[in-house]
Amino acid sequence: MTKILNVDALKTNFYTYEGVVKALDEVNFDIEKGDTLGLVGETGCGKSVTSFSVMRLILPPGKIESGRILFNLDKQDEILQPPCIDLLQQTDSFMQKIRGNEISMIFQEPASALNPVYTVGEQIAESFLLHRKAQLYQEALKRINEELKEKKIFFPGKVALIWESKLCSKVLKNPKSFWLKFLSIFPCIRTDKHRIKKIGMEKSANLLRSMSVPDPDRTVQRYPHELSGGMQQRVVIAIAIACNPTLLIADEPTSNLDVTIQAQILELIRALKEKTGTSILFISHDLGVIAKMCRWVAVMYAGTICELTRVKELFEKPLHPYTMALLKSIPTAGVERLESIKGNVPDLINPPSGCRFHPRCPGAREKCTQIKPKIEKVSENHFVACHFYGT
Amino acid sequence: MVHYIFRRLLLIIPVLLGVSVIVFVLLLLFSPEQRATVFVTDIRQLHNIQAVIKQHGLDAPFYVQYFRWISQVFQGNLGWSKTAQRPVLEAFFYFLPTTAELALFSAPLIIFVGMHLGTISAVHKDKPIDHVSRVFSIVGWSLPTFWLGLVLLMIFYGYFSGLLPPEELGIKASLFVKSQEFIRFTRINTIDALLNGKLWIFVDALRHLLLPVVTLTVVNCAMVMRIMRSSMLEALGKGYVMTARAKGADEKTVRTKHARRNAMIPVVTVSGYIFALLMSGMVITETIFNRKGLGWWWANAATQLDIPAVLGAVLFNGVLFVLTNLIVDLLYAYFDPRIRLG
Amino acid sequence: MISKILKKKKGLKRNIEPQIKELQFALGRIRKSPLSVIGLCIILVFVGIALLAPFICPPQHPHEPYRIPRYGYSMTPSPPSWEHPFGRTEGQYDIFYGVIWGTRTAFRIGFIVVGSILVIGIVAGSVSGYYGGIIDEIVMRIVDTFMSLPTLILAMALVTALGRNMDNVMLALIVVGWPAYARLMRGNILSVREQTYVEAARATGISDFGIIFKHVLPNAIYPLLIMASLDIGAMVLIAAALSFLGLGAPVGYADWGQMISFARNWIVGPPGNPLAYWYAVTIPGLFIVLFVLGWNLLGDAFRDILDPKIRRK
Repeated sequence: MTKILNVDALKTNFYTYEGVVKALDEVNFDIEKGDTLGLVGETGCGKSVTSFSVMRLILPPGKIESGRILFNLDKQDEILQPPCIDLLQQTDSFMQKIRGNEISMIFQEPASALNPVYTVGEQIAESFLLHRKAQLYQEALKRINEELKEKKIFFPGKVALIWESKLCSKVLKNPKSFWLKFLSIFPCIRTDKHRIKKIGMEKSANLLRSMSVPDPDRTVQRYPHELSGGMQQRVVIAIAIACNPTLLIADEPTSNLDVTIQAQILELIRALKEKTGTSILFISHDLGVIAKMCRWVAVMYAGTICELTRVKELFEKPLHPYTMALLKSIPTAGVERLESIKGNVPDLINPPSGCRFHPRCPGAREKCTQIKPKIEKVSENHFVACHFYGT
Repeated sequence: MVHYIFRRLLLIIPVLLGVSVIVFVLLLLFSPEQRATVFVTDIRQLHNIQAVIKQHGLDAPFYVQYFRWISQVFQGNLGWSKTAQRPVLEAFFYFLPTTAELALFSAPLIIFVGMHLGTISAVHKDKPIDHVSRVFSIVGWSLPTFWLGLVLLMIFYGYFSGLLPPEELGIKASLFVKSQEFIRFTRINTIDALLNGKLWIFVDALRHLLLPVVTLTVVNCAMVMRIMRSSMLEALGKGYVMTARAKGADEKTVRTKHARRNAMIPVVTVSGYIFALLMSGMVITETIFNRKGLGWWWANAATQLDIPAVLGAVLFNGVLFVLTNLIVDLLYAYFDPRIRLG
Repeated sequence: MISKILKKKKGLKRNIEPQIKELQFALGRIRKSPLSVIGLCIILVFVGIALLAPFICPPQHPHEPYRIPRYGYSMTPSPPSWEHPFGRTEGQYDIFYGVIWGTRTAFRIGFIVVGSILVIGIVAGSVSGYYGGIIDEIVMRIVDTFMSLPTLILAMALVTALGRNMDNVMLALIVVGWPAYARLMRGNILSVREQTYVEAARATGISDFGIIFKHVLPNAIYPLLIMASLDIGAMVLIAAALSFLGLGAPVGYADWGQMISFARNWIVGPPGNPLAYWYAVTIPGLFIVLFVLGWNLLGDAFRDILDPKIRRK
């Protein structure tokens, strides 16, 4: 199988007033093409930090210290080797081309992820405009030419159309020309922008239609606060998939929604995946959701990955003591007593030595307090970071 | 939207009522003889003040007096200003253009400079440029308007012998402005000069405007900057900014298109207070630079116990504040669709 | 009975503990921020000047120490000399004496005005916010009205109506200043009132007064203190502006604003020496600027430290 993403020994720290928060400590995982990897763990274990690190959106005071994030840029390539690139070595401007285009992200809270002062359509269209500008302008040029041919237009209208087509071809030739920037001072002269906006809105509406949003043409004209939570999350998803990304990161996309809407959104993401074949990194604290959505699952604890395997195997044959404890704490019908994990989530400024789970681990031994376990291959599809797994 | 405007209009009433009460309470602090001057419409009445007292019942109970006074106000009679040598209401329109001219030049500059400094400061938080602009704003905020004006005059009028003089216009220009050849459309010198096509008068007026405008800007833009900085910092931490970055927008677009548009909303909401601040600054600035505007008139009126003018000033500022806030509210609705449609 | 007291104490301790931590955190930040240290130093120097004023320049008239001694009656200012280190301003008032004793005036204005404003604002705001209803409506409408008028112009009108002297200037500033505090306090009270710990306190049956003082006030007071430290500078500025306009201190009173007003006619020197009288304007002005700057630096640092929105990042 082709690997689309390979995260290797990723280390991210946050330099706060209280001290250095070691949020990620040598995180390793990879995602195969067209596959879904679930990332599960308690709140504050570094799930979101992982996703932001992959996007390279860790802002000061945070810093990605070391590691490699290999991303397979060429969609046809078979094996994980060049032309795949290390995202941590790329320039910011290159990353801007990657974000939203190759890797994009669905956020946790749709209400705050949308800008309150722009319409939904404008926000979706921004994705097109950032990455598919040439396409939009070609479309615009085509329409102008059609209009010029078809209708009998009188003199002033014709001049305006010709001016518009001139502008469009100028943008296609050299989008950064000084002349265009100068004209942008007077927005009324840049008539091409109106057409582009219109096309962008149409494309946004089409996108929403493909996601079976009711009345998409009116929805794109709405502001985020006028929409329901589920609808807002659909818009966030639309922004993320606007440019058909190779990898989609879904950071707890349903945790703030009602249960019924949750199911709809999950169904939507699954349908999208089947249609476009994108790979998904699905983050959640809910093992049930993970079980429904993913084929592979990685369990995270305090900034480390402790177990990585197929979903089925995780439920049937968990090896890491944390995973076992986590599975026992899921409420299921018929079981009367739930077991909770003793102790608290560790302080990441002064994390426990050795294995980060050892203070809470029932089977902790001397070795666990001193040596940090490496993630090791146990069987074909099973990786565990524990000195005494399975015991 | 209509509902919103209507609600705003309703909120005006208690404030206007309150302002009228404040002015009236101020009026009651004076003796009946002094109070009588507020009801005088003509200079000749000043010689027979007892008659005015009797006529307007200034020894009646205060509520009776309040209604008499307020009905006078509604008729546009605010008394005779001895410093302006004309009725108060007429004097307003006489002095207004000079003040309006100064406000016209300084208010946009205050907003512009303040917002840009605030944005820069927020974007480069805790970097040297942030510290520099914050120190600039704190120092500006600490400068007494009157002292800054005098020091600027000392340098640019004294040391550079008459480079940037006080008052509104030079002698030659002011003579020409008063002559028949010059048509006074608005009585605002710069605008009239342009309408008359007299560039030299325009330049002269600008030369006289520069120092007061700088004084007001330096002192007042600190507040705008501070609000802009904190609201920009807040906006930069919001989820939608992250969404924009995740879309692949460059930092500049993220800041200008996404963060700043939202950060401007709090600045808009306080711009009414900024205007009130500006009017306070006007009193000092016009006095120092000897520009015969509203502020100059009020300062003179206060020192010469010209009661109608002083009370008129309070009333006028109350009304002005209410009007600017109404405009601000409409602007607010424009900037924030949540208000416009909610 | 004993358990009740113990419970109360425990509650109090829990209530205060985070604040002590907060204070330690704030003090730590102040020491680290150079600007606030500068601000603090400036204020300390001024405190020293104010305390030592009788020793730095002993008053000529022991009963009226605030009267600036004058040395002659000539209108033209005289330049600095050994006897008069900062020179003499219009009317031969000694600038050095004026600015030193002016420091006392400034502190007096700042502390009395801001202290009174703080008390009035807290009382009005607490009552308004805690009881709500018609009281809240009335207080807030009064606040709105006062806040709709420019500070300086309202103060000017008040001083005109009350008569010109230092006490009336302070009274006017108090009248002008309290509404902002009442509004801030009310907002804080409203947000604190709904918190669980206040609900819990109410459930135990403490009186309203007790709740406001023990639980609400300690949590709502920080923003007011920030505003107060910034306002000491601002109030001194307005008082100086009033004096400058001739509405404050009587002629010859040691007050910075008046010292600048003396110099107003002397900003341009005789031909050939345009900056001849620089000292008359510059020196009293610098005292005002430094004084206000000190308070603003301190207040600004406090604001950053205590603003939960932007702190700890």
